[in-house]
Amino acid sequence: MSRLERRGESRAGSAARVAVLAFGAFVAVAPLVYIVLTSFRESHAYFASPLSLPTDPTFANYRRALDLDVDRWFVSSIIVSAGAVLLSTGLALLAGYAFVRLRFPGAGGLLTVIVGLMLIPPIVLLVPLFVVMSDVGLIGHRLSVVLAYAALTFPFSVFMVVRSMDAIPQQLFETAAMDGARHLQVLRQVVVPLARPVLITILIVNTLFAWNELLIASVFLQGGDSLTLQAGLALLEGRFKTEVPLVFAGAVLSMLPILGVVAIGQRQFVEGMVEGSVKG
Amino acid sequence: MVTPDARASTIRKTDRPSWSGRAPDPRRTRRGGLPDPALGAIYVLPALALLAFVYAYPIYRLARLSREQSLGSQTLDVGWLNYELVLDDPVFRTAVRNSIALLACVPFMTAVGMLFALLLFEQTRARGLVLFLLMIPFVTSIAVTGIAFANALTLNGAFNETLDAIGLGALRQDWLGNPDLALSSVGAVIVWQQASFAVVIFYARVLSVPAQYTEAALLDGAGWWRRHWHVTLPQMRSSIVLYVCYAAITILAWIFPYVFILTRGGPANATTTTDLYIYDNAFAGTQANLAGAAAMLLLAGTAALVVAFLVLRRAIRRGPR
Repeated sequence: MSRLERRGESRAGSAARVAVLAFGAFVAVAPLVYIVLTSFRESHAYFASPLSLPTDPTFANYRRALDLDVDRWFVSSIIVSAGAVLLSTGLALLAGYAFVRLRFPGAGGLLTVIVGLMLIPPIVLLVPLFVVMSDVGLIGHRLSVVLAYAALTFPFSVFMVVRSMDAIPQQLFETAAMDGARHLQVLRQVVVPLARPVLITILIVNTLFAWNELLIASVFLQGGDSLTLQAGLALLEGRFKTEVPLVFAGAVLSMLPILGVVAIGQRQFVEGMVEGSVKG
Repeated sequence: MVTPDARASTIRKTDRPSWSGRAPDPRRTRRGGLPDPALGAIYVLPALALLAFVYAYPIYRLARLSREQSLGSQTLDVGWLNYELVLDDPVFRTAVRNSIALLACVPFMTAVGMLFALLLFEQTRARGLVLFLLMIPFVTSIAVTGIAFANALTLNGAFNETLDAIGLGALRQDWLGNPDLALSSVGAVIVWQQASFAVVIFYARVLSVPAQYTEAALLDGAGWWRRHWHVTLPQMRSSIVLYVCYAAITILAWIFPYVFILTRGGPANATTTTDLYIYDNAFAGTQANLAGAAAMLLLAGTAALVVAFLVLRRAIRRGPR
């Protein structure tokens, strides 16, 4: 910070820091830049020389990727992500309210168990969950994936919601209660506005998870019509292994919304995390 | 004596706008709110139903599956046979060994994450931009990461070409195809992606560390290293422990996608891990029962780690803060 410099941090120290940060940023971003640049080249150009700038940039790969169902997968991913995140957050708000305000017996223990579920590796659940979904006929339908994602993100969501609700002063609840507000009103008009940074954090983390998830989507949707973006990409990669720039174009398309969300929500995400971490 | 209800109705009529026009419920306690176990249970029920459907029932089926064998349409209970078969399987042992070897990523993930978090915290200019760039590996999906690195790390891929370009051509390798290097290459990709998350976690934490101690140290003339090792880091101890445990569990149970996309467990099982083993048996092969046993073992291992974490956390809480 500039106050460090005012207190006499050396020029050399400052320069060293900038150099290291620049190097880190470069390593972080290089693969993505590589993919983007290569996606504008043609396959034969890529094979001749993998590490070259596009001499004749073309959108052909993007057009072809969109033709090859990438657009359908994109929409599918939006539906699945939105559905899963809404379900997870909604359930977390209800449950969080129940834990913090409505206080039923065994709440503490139950919350601990739920949070403990975060440690179960999804792969462990995959086989039996597939069988269960198959039994109820949900394989191939987006709902199977939505339910799975909502359940997998629920422990984290409820954990963060409870933490942020614990920080709301009892006064506010008392005021609302004394004025005769019903619970759902309190939830909507008191809790949600106050918990906004944390809710945004949850939204971003869960959307990221749902958007980027590969395994469950692949196994549950089986390459069918409802296939999501990441699973589709994996399929594309398998089918068009040698057409690297094409696959890269698909990859870039899948990254665009994420980058947009991160750019916009970055500050609030960090704020939400700071709020979460101050409590330990 | 002033009863809660009397107070409430007095205050309400004169001071406060009414939410709904109803008179306040006389059952309300003085602390406000209305502990309402029945309603609480209702609010929690949908979530519990979902969790039971996705977690509880499948794990129960898994436990059953692991103790059975299917022969055609028949299912026999075979006790611990599947567990014995799995534990005797050299592929499983290699998988476990590889998973444990990959734990070496954890110190790198933590150190790199912490380093950049601290540097970022001290940086003023373009902080937002640098943070955004540093976050990119973590927000990149595994499919994209896999696609990028699987192509870049081939013998004629971009990475080797880069080495050539900067004069380090002698270091060219078949990073993913050479059995001796494959695991380390996979580890490097994991570190690349996970350190990015560590940066965000630690950066958020560092922002809430009170500045006065660090500034005092700076005034005392302490250098960068001394300042942070002795002043900043001890205040972040619980975050560090939490992250290390998260990192360890990630390595042991959540790296299936990395291995699957980058090397598919090859070459010759050089990079196979426990979760890939489970997948291979369940889906590629038809040994769902073995997969079940392996999965239960993985669960047990993860549970052991959780216990270790809780013990460690208590020990730290008792120690100097």
